[in-house]
Amino acid sequence: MSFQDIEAGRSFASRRNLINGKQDPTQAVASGIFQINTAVSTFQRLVNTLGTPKDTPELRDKLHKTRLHIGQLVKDTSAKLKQASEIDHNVEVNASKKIADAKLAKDFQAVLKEFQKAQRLSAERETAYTPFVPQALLPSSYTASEVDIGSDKTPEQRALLVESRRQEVLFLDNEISFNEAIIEEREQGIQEIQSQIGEVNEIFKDLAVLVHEQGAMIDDIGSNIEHSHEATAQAKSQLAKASKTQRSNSSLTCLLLVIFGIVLLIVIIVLAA
Amino acid sequence: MANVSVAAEWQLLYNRYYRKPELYPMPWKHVDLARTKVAAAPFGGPVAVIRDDSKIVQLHAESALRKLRLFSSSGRPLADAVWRHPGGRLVGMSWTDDQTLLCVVQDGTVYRYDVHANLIEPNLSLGKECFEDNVADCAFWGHGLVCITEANQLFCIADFRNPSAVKLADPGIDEMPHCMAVIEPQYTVSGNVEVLLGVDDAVVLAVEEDGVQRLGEGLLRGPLQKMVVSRDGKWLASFTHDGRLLVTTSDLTGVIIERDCESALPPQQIAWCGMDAVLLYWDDMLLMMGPEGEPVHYLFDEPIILIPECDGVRILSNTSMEFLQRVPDSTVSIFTIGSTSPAALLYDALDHFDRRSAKADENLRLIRSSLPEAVEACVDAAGHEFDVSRQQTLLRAASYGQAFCSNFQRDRIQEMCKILRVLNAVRSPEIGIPLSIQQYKLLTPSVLIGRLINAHQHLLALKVSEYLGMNQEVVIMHWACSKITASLAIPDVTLLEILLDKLKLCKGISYAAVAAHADKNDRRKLAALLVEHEPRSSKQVPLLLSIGEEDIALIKATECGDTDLVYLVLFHIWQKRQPLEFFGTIQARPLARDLFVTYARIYKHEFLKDFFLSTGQLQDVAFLLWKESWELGKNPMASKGSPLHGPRIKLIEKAHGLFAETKEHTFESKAAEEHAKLLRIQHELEVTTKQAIFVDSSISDTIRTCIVLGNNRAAMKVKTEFKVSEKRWYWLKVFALATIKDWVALEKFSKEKKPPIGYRPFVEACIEADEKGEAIKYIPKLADPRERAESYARIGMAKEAADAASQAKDGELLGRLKLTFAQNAAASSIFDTLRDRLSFQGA
Repeated sequence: MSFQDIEAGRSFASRRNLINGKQDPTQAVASGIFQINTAVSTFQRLVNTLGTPKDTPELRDKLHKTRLHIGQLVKDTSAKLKQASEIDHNVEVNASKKIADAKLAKDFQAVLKEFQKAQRLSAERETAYTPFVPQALLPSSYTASEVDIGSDKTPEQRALLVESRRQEVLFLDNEISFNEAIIEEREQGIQEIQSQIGEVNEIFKDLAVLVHEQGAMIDDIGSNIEHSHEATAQAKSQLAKASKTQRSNSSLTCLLLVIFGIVLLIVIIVLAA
Repeated sequence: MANVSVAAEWQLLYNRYYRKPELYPMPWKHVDLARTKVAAAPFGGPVAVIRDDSKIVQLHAESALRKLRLFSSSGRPLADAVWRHPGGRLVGMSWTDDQTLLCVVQDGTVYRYDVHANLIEPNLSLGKECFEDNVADCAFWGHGLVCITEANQLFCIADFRNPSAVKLADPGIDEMPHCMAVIEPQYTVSGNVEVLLGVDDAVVLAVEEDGVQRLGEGLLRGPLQKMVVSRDGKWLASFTHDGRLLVTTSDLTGVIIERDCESALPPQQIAWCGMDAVLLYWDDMLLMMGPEGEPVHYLFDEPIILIPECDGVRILSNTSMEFLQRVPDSTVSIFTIGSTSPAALLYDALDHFDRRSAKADENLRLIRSSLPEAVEACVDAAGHEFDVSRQQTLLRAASYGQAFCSNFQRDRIQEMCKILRVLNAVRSPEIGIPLSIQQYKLLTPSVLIGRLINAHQHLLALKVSEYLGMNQEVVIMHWACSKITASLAIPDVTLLEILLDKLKLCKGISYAAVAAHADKNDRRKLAALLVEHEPRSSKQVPLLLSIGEEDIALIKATECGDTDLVYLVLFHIWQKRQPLEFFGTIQARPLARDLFVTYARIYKHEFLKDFFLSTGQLQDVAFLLWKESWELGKNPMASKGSPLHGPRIKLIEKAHGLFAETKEHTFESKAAEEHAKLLRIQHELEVTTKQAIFVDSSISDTIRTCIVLGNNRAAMKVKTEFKVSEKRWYWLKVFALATIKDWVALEKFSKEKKPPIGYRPFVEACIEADEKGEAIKYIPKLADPRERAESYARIGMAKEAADAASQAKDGELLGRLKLTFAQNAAASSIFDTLRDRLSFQGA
C-alpha cells in the first residue's frame, strides 16, 4: 500500500490480500524467509565492518545479537516450513501450492547458505582482529602502572586472563552457532532425502500400476493369437474342399464331351444307311 | 542464489517493497554537505554546491571567497566559478527544467548560470520592494520561483523563459510563516501559481495573484512546521507542531493519514518518494512512511540531501549517491521469496537450464499458458534494473521464454535492449546521468540528447541519436560550433579539416550555420572556407554576403542559375560598393550583367546609363536617351509644346552625338540628327501658326499640313531641308490641294510642267473629292487608254468610256464596263455592238 495505490483506488483489494496473507502458512513462511534474508544482509554489513576503525565491542555485541536473532528466525521459519510440507503431504491436491512450497524450500536453503558463508567470514574476522579499544581505558591503565610497579603485573595478568576467557567464550559461542547451522543444514538434507525417497516410492507405485495394466494387454494379445490360429485351421480345411470340387468339375466336362461324340457317330451311321 | 540476494536489499513497508540501490560512490573531495548549500536537478541532473554563508564554519586552507562548484550526479566536477556577487546572503538555489541554475540573493537579484558555470546575462530582479525589504525565503518549481520578503510580501516569476516579476496578493500576516510550499501552475485550478503558507494559527493560507484563501480551518489542530506538495500537486505532506506527519489533499479538505513520528522536532527535510511514500529526515535518521504499516527506518552516519524524482528519491551523501524507489511490480513478482509467478518460474527455468537440469523443462511446462505474461514481466523488470549483469540475466530469461512462445511481440526485447543500452551509457560515471527507465520515458530521448549536447558530451549524443534513429545533424552542428569557440589557437586550415571530418558524417547537413558561427567568432576566413562546402546555394549565398565575400557569392549564385539569388547578390553589392566597382564586378558575369540590365531598364535608367558609359557601350546609352525623349513626349505637358521642347531636342542631340562616336551606327546617327531637326522645325511651325498639330508627325504629314494651311513657303522649306523627292512632293501637294478643294491652284500646279507622276493622281484626287467637272480636265491627258476608260466609267460617262475602251481593243474591259452600266439600256447596247465587232475581228 502506498499513496499511489490510494490514488489508484486499490485500497479494498489490498485489505483482502492482507486477510488472505494472514491465513496462509505459505505466506507466513515467505515472510519469515524475507525477514531472515534482510537480517542476513544486515549481518553481512556488520561483518564487513570487522577490522575497520568502526570495530568496537558494541559492534561485536550487536553482531552477536543479530546472529541470535537470525537463529531464532531460522527455527521459526523451519517449523513453519515443516508444517506447510505436512499439509502438502496430507492434502496432496493443490499442485501450485506444492510448487510454491518447493520454491520456498529452495529459497530457504539459499538464504541459509548465505548465512553460513557470512558466519564463517565473521568467525575468521573475529579471530583475526581484536576490537578497537577506546582511548579512555588507556590512561587508567597507565595511571595504575605508575602507582605501583609491584602490583603492575597482577592487573596485566588479570587483563590478559579476562581477554583470554572472553576470546574463549566468544569462540565457543561461534562454534555453537556454527554447529547449530550445520545441524540445521543436515536436517534439511535429510528432509530432502526423505522427500526424494517418497518421490521414488511414488514412482514405483506408478510403475506397478503400469505393469499391471500392461499385463492385461498382454493377455488380450495371447487370446487374439489363439483365435487367429483356429481361424487359420478352418481356412485350411475349406481350401482342401474347394480343391476337390474344382477337380470334379473338370472330369465331368470331359465325360460330356465323350458322350456327345458317340451320339454324333450313331447319327452319322443312321444317315449313311 | 541470486534471487535471494536481490530481495535481501529490500525493505517492506506494510505490503510494498522498497529498495535503495547505490548509484555511484561519490569521488568528489572537500565536499561536506553539512556546511554547504546544495541544489540538485531532477532526472539525474547536475549538482551545484556552494559553502553556506548562513553558518559559521571553520575554513581549512580555503579561500575566504566562496566558490560555486558544479558536479555531475556521479560526483565528477563539471565547472566552477568564484562567487563575487553583491546583494547579501544567498537565499535559495535551484535548477530549472532547461538546466539553468537560479541563485537568489537577499536583495532580490536572481543570477543565472548554465551547466558550465557561465553567468547568463542579464540578471533578473524581483523588484524594488525585494531590494528594500530583503528576501527571506524562496520556493522553486520547474521553470518558476516564488520568494517572500522579510515584510511578508510574496513575489513571483512564473516563467523564466519569459521572466517578469509579479507581486502576489498580500497575505496579511505579521510574523514570518513557518513554512512555504508552491503548487505549480499546471496543477492548480486557476492555472496560476498558488503558494501555501503555514502560519501560527491552525490554518494554511493559499495565496494567489488576486486573493488569499484560508485552508484547513477545523481540520488542523495547530500550526504546520513543514510542508511539501506531491509531484502531481494533489497531496500535501506536512509536519505538525506536536510531532505528527499529516498527509492531506492539497486543498486541505481531507486527511489521508495522520501519524505520530518519534520526534517533535521538525525534520530537516521532507520529500515525496515518487507518489508512493513520504520521507522525513532528521539528523541521522531517515523515516519512510506509507499510508499503512509501521514506518521503515534508515540510519545514516553522515548528512544527506533528498532529491525528489518522478518515481522515487535520490539520496546524496558525502560518499554516495543512492536511489530509493518502490520496487516495480514486475521485479517483485520475480524476486520475492517463494514467488511462483510465471515470471519467477521462467527465471528459475533459465537457472536450471544453465545448470543443465531437466527442471527447466518442467518449469516451462507449468507456465506454458502464461508464457507471454512471464516474458513481458522479465523484460519490464530488466528495464527497471540498475545492475547490468542482472539486466542481462533477465533479458536472457525473456529470450529463453520467447523461444517457446508463438505469439509474443518479438520487438519488445529488442526495444528494451535499445533503451537499456542508452541508459547504461548515460549512467556510466564519466557521464553521470543516473536515469531510471521511468525518468527516461518521461524525459524523452530528444531532451536527453539535448542535455548531452549541452554538457558537451557530443560523442555520446551522436552515438545515441544514431542508435535510436534520430537526427544527428543537431549534434554535429553543436559540436562544430563548440569546436570553433574552443579552438582559438588552431589555424584555419587545420581546424577546417577537423570540422569537415565530422560534418561529413551527416549527409545534407547545413554548413551555413557553422560558417555563421565561425564568422561571429571572428574567424572570417574559416567561415569562407566552410561555406565552400555548403551544398545548398540558397543558404550559401546569403551567408557569403553576410561575411563579406560578395565576389564568391556572385559566382555561386550564377552557377546555380537561380535568378532570385543573383538579384539578391546584385542588390547587396549595389548598395555596398561604389558604382564603378559594381560595374566592373558584374561586367565579368554575363548572366548577372544581363539580369541587372533587365532590371535597370525598368526601374533605374540613370544608373543604367552610367553603367553603359562606364563599360563603353555608347550606343546603348544613346538608345536610352532617345527612348527617354519619347517618354518626355508622352507627358501631357508636351501637348502644350514649349516647356519640354528644349530638353527633348537636347536629349536627341546627345544621342546623335553618342551614335556619331561609334562607326557602326551611322544610320542611327543620321536618323537622330534628322529627328532633332524635324522637331525643331515642327516647333517653329507650331509657334507660327499657334496650332499644336505638328509635333511628332512625320515629314509627309508635316508637308501636307503646311499646304492645307496655305503655307506653301514652309512646305517648300521642309521639302528642301529633308530632300523630299519630286514624285513624293507631287503626290503630297495634289492630295493636299484636293483636300482644301483649291481647284485653281491644282490646275495651275498641273501646268507648271509635266508632272513626273503622270496625271493619274490628279484624276484620283478629283474623283475622291467628287468633282467630276474637275476630273474631266485631266482624264484626256492620261497616257493609257485603258486608264482613261476606267476613269470615264468611274464618273459615269459611258460613251467616252466606250470610245476609250475601243481604242484599247480590250474586249474583257468592255465586258466589265458593260456590267458597270447594266442599268443603262442604251449604254448596254453600245457595249454589245462594240464587243461583237471585236469578236468578229478576233475570229
